[in-house]
Amino acid sequence: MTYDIAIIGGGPGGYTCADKAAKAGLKTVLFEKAFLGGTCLNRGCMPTKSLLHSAETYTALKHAADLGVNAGDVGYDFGVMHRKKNEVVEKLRQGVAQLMKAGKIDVIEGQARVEGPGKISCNGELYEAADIVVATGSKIASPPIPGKELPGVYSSNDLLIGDGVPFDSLIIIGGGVVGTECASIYLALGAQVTILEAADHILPLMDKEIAQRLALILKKQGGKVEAKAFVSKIEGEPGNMSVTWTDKKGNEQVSTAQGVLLAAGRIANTDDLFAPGAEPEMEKGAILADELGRTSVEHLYVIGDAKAHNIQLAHVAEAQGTNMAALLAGKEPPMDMRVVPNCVYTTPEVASVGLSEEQAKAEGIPVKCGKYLTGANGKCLIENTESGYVKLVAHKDTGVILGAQLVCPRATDLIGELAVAVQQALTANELSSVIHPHPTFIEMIHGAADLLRVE
Amino acid sequence: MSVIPAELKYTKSHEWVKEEDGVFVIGLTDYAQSALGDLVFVNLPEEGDAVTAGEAFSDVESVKAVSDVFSPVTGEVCAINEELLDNPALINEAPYDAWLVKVQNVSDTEELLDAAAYEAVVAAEEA
Repeated sequence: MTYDIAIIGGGPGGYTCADKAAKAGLKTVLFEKAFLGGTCLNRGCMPTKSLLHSAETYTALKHAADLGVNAGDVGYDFGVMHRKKNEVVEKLRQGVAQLMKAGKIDVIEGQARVEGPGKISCNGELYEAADIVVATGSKIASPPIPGKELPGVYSSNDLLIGDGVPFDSLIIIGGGVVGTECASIYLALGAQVTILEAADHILPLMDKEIAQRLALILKKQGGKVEAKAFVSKIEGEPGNMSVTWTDKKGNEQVSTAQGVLLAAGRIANTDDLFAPGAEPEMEKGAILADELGRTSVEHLYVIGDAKAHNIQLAHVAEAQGTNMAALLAGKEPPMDMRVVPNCVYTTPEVASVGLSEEQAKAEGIPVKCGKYLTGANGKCLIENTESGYVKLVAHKDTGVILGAQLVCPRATDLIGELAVAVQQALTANELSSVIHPHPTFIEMIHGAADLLRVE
Repeated sequence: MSVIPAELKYTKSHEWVKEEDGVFVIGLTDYAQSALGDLVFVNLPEEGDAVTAGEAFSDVESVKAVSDVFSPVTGEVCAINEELLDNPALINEAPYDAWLVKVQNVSDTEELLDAAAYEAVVAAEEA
């Protein structure tokens, strides 16, 4: 079969690219070795959010009496939580399949391999396409820690696919997005959770202020959070695991729990992707490409987590998929890749976009900041939320909003308005001149902008 | 009446200072913590950061407001009180034990007040 465009990988990057390419009139084929939807939909963003929703509902019901609601004896059913999550995943998968069908996109189930320019093999068949887009995403990184292969050591896949794994106590190695979100789920279910993070602070890609705030909240919720913690070995059997680590002062510590979650990041997934001689230039298994996703091989492109130095987010891959389809259809890529909102679904949520005060200082950009506290917001008081904030970073002279950091309820929704503000280079005056609805969480943005207002 | 230990020095912006062999220990006064109310968060600099006399080096947060903490000295942060990061209420409980930072290589200081002069500042603000 001959196509205009062949896409390898059916995650958010791949299926979006396929959808847009088909809509632009390109004859499109999509290869997927497991399930449509990729990591995000099957074993990442979506399953964690479903489980977190269950866990947060359980927490809310436990505290219902404070609100005058008699919920009686509250418990949870781990099996049903995972069944609900599996139903959500299944529906989303069907939605993607429907989208592909509607676009008359050929979806081939199987492991595809690039054999040479314009040539792909899959399940023993050969396919030809004018352009090939690699969207194979990422896989779980496995740092060289002795004991990591033990049966009591789990990955996010083990916790999120199928029936999951219940724990009364859990040690999480890695305090990034996956680690902190899983911590929030298990903390809400009443487990003892210890996070061991090797960097200076948890959420190493967020600013220190956010990390410090989240660490404080996780500790208040009963978690243990250790930064600059270097794990030297894992021992034990399922139900009785121990992790040996060095704390920030150089002292050796041993933590014990029923299980260990290894959440030390994700790396590009390019296993068995290229026939010998068909590889583009790569770096540590990730594919090197320019901003538009052009690799060193003509007519071979890459989007999403498989691309070297890419921000590993579903919505980044999705935007790149949209731009790639436009590029290959000879149109102007519509998505602005400069402004990328970043979200963490902990309790409370965390989100950021653009520059932080820390980054601005490091880059020598003069800034002023407006910080509005959850304690001053009516909706936050009603919902008894943890202490958090909405912080805006604006240029000191022009007042243009350069970035925002949020730790508050619905931060992941609120960040949308601020992504628009940063992308459109709105000033604090302009943002604060817009009437925001009351009472809402989003009026905290107005409050923060108002603090920066120049008369 | 707020507590004002006689052996410490103070700033008009309600920080206390204690010099120990060239290292300046800095905290918030009893009057400051009482005026701020229950603290829920403290933002501290990092070891090695430069601080400037008269400029904010930290902020503390009560339920409703963020307040800057000003450095009484110019120098380099050599220690931060990490306990406060997890338990900011320590400042409310024992303001003169809950130091925020220690500063070394001090090249300049604000006008520092003795206990009597600071008491007059507090009395004026309370009036």
